[in-house]
Formats: sequence, C-alpha cells, structure tokens
Amino acid sequence: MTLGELIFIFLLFVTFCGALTTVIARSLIYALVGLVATMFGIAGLYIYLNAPFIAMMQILIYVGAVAILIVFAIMLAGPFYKKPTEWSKVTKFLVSLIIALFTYLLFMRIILHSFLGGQDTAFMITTKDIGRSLFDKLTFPFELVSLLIVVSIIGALMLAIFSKDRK
Amino acid sequence: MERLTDIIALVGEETVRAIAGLIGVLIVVVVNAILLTWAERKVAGHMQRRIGPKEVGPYGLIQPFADTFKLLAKELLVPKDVAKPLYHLAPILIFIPVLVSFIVIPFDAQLQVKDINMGILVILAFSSLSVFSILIAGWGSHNKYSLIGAVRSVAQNIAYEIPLLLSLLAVIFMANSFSLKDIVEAQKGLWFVFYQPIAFLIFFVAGVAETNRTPFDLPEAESELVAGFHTEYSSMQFALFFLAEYTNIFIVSAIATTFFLGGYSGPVLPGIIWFFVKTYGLVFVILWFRWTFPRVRFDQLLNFSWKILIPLSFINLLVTGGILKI
Amino acid sequence: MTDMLLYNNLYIYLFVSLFLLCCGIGGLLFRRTLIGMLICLELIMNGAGLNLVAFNRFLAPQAPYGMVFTLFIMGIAAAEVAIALALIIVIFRRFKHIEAEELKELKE
Repeated sequence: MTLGELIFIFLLFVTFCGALTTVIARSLIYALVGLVATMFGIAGLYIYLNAPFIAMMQILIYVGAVAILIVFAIMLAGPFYKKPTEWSKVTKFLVSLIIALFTYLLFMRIILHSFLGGQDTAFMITTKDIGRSLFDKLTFPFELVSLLIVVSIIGALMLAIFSKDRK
Repeated sequence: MERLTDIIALVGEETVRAIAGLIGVLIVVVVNAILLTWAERKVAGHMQRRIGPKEVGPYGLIQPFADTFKLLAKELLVPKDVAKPLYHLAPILIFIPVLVSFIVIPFDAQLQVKDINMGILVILAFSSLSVFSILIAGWGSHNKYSLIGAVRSVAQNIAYEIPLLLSLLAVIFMANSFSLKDIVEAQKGLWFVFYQPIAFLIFFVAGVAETNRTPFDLPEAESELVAGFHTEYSSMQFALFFLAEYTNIFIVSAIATTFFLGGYSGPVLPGIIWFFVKTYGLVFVILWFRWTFPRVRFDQLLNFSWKILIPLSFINLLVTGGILKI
Repeated sequence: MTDMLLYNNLYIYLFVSLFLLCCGIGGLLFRRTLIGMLICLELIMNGAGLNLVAFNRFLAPQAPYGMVFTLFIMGIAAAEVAIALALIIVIFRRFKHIEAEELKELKE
C-alpha cells in the first residue's frame, strides 16, 4: 500500500460519495455539492491518468462555470414551495436493483473479458501536443464546437429576453 | 546533522521538501495576515491625516495581536435555521484555493514548494472554488441579505475572472510555458510590464475586483448589506473569511509580480527580498486604492468588465499573437 | 511490477465511469424536477469523459485524441447546460413550477 495508492483510494471514495449524494439527496443544493465533490474526485483521477491539463480544465470549466450556473438557476427557478411527487421507496429500491444488476452484468461478464489488460507506458502527453492536434487534425470539430457555443449563447439570450413580456 | 541526513534518506527528499514548504507557507500566511491588518489601519489613518493605532506597542505593532485575541475570544454563535453542513463547510472551502496557490509561487530560485508544469492553471482553477464557497456561505446562512450579498459577489467574481485569464494568457504566449518559474526566467532581459502594459493594468484591476476590495467592494460594504455573505458568521469562522481575503490580496500581488515585474530577479540583494519588496509595493497600492476611489455602483461595475475590459483584453491577445508569430 | 498497482489498471477506471453512468441514469429516473435531471446528466457526461481519457492512456498513448475529445465534451456540456437552464427559466416563468410530471399540456 504505497502512498500513491492510498491517495487514489481516497479519490475513489470522494467520487463515489459525491455520485451517491447527487442521486439520493433531497434538497437540490446538496445534490449540487455532491456533484462538485464528484468533479474534484474525477479531476484527481485524471491526474493519475497522466492528464494534468485535462484535470485543471475540468475544475475550471465544470466547478468554475457549470456548477455556478446551476446554482443561479436553482435560486431563480428552484422547487421551494412545491415539493415534487417522487416515487415511493419500494419503487426506488427496485429500480436501483435493476440498475445494479445491469452494472454487474455489463462489467463482470462483458468488460472484464474484453480487453487484453492495460499497457503501462510512462508517456506524457504535453499541452503542446493537445494544442497541435486541435489545430492540425481536429480543426473541424474545434470550429464546430465554437459555432455550437455561439449558437447556444444566442439561443439562451433570445429565450430569456423574449419570454419576459408576458406581464 | 547525521540524524537529519538519515531522516532525509529514510523519508525521501520530496517529502521533506513538501513538509518544509508547507510549514513555510503557513508562516507566510500568518505573518502576512498580521502585517496587513496593522498596515491597513496605519495606511488608512495616514491617508486620512490622522495617525492610526498607536497605543498598543510601539507604532501600534501589537495591535493585530490584540485584535486577534478579541476576535477569537468571541462566542461562536450559530443561528437556529442554518443548513449546518453548508454553513460550516464554507469557511473551510474558501481557504483551500489560497493554500494551493502558495505551493506554486516562486519566492526565490530554489524556494518554491513544487514547480508544477501547469502552475498558473492550478491557481486559476482553484480560485473558481472560492466562488462556489461564497455561494454556499450565502445560501447556508438562511438570511436574505447574505444571499443577496453572495449573489452580487459571485456575479462580480465571474465577470472579472475572464479578463484575468485573458491578460495572463498574453504573458503565457510570450513565455511559452504555464510554469511560474519559466515565466520568471523568461524575464531575464526586460520585465514583461514593458512589453505588455495594458495586460498589466487589466490584470491588476481584475485582481482587485476578484478580492472584493474597494472600489469594487459592494458585496461587503458596511453601509449597504450589513456585511454581505459573511453576516451570520462569528469569531473563528469570520476570522477565516477575513484571513482568506487578506491572503488573496497577497496572492494577487504575488502573481502580478511574478508575471509582470520579474518575480525574484534583482541586482544586489537576494531574490526573496526583491520578491517581497515588489509584492508589498503592489499590496500598498491596493491598500491605497481603498481610501482614494469611491465605491463603484454595481451595474457600472459589471458594465466595465463585460463591455470594456473583455474586448480590450481580446484585442491585446490578438495583437500579442500577431506580433509573436508574424 | 508496477502493473500490480491499483491505478495502473484499465478496469478500475472503467468501473468508475460505469458507476457514474449508472448513478446518472438512476438520478435521471429518481429526480422529478428538471434541474435535478440536469445535474444527473452532468454526472453521465463526466463518466464518459473519464472513459475516454482512460482508454487514451492505456490503449493508445501516443496520440492525444482521447484528451482532446474530453475537452470537446466539456465544451459541449457547458453549452448544453446554458441552453437547458434558459429553457428551465422560461418554463418556470410560464408554469410557475418545474416538475416534469405536470408539464403535460402543449398549449394553454
């Protein structure tokens, strides 16, 4: 049990607890705190996968932008005065059982026998490689994603502005 | 002495360096907080043509200790309806980005706790965590004024985060690396402030706005919203928010020094003295701002960021990229 | 020897991403408000990104394509959250609630 493994197990624990909190918590803000914990855990796992740039981008984009956006939406449109009607506990338990069975079958029966094990190379992909491939071979998806972001900004603005004159 | 080398051989040099670095970081944080508390009141006093505190110790130097003891001796008052996990988590969460930022700042050529390959990305990524903890503090306090103060503070923070990132990106273009030590080494010829004056100004203004200092301190102004998102916190938790804010001032000045003013390089004295001289010079300028400028109105504040600073930093980035690659 | 370490194995990362996917699907089924469903959708996307980077590091380590596609996933997730939240706010303004069960009518 080296120190690296102990920290890895801690990150796995944080990810699992965050994911379970997101699903089980009653109030939406607690679910969001669970989501943020999950994102930090996944960022730690990215560092173990030799991808420190992706880890920092994950924290910057998801925790720094997406989580805050969702908190603002909860404050503006949150379910505070009307409790939503959820399924009963028995139904939830049965559905969880079905999902767990699906996970077990998929992982233990199919995935574990599919791949030839992991390759253990100490290859470090630098930010320069990522940048070079973004502008070299993957220029087309890059431009499409930028177009998508512009379209989504314009769409969000139009939706917000044009729904206001109902008073 | 042999016992020391024995311990180092046993545990590994990296661990000893990490532990020594962490102890050094804690010392710097505490000393900086004490110094800034004293300096703020003295500078405020002298700028208002009065002397600051002078009773407690020579020139009022023991005043911060007296203030700290008073603050810690207060009762830790937890209101009844707060959401307990969120309320108690927020002051802890707001301190994490500050401590993480200290790991990558180069105080001298060898005095850096760890020279991570993406140093500046670590600092920027974790500064977005402090925004989240402000929201949690405002929400968990179960108080309308806290919530309004928290939302205002977050809106200001995310608005000024973008010019901060873009102005630093222009310097990263010039130095070709994310690591802070490489950026200081790349300023051996001429400091970057002469190559990129606009980026320096944008970064400094955005940094002052990030730390919620005047003229951008509407979220925590005393005459506006009681005290913003830390209204319901008392004694030790308030001290943590306070400490985080003062250390943030130091970190913003330290990053400005590293990126634009040459970091630890200087002619005669050892590097670390030059680093502290430059950083505390910028800290003094930030303290000076508080008693010089009036408070900016909130919509003027947001307009300034979205309509003026962001286009300006984009143009700066374009011009930098153009000059470098053409 | 270093293959025996817990984190140098492909399967643990596949298990984590599968766990996140299933938590996300379960959350999508359990949560009745639109924002709750959005939060669980983010979980699913995170799991997918982790999957891609894990495959990149273990089976194809020379090229950065897994990492680049994870960056694309992050960008697309951010854009999608923006539009979804704009839609949710419009729904809230019209219906005064965001329960998925009650949003049955197309017109007034």
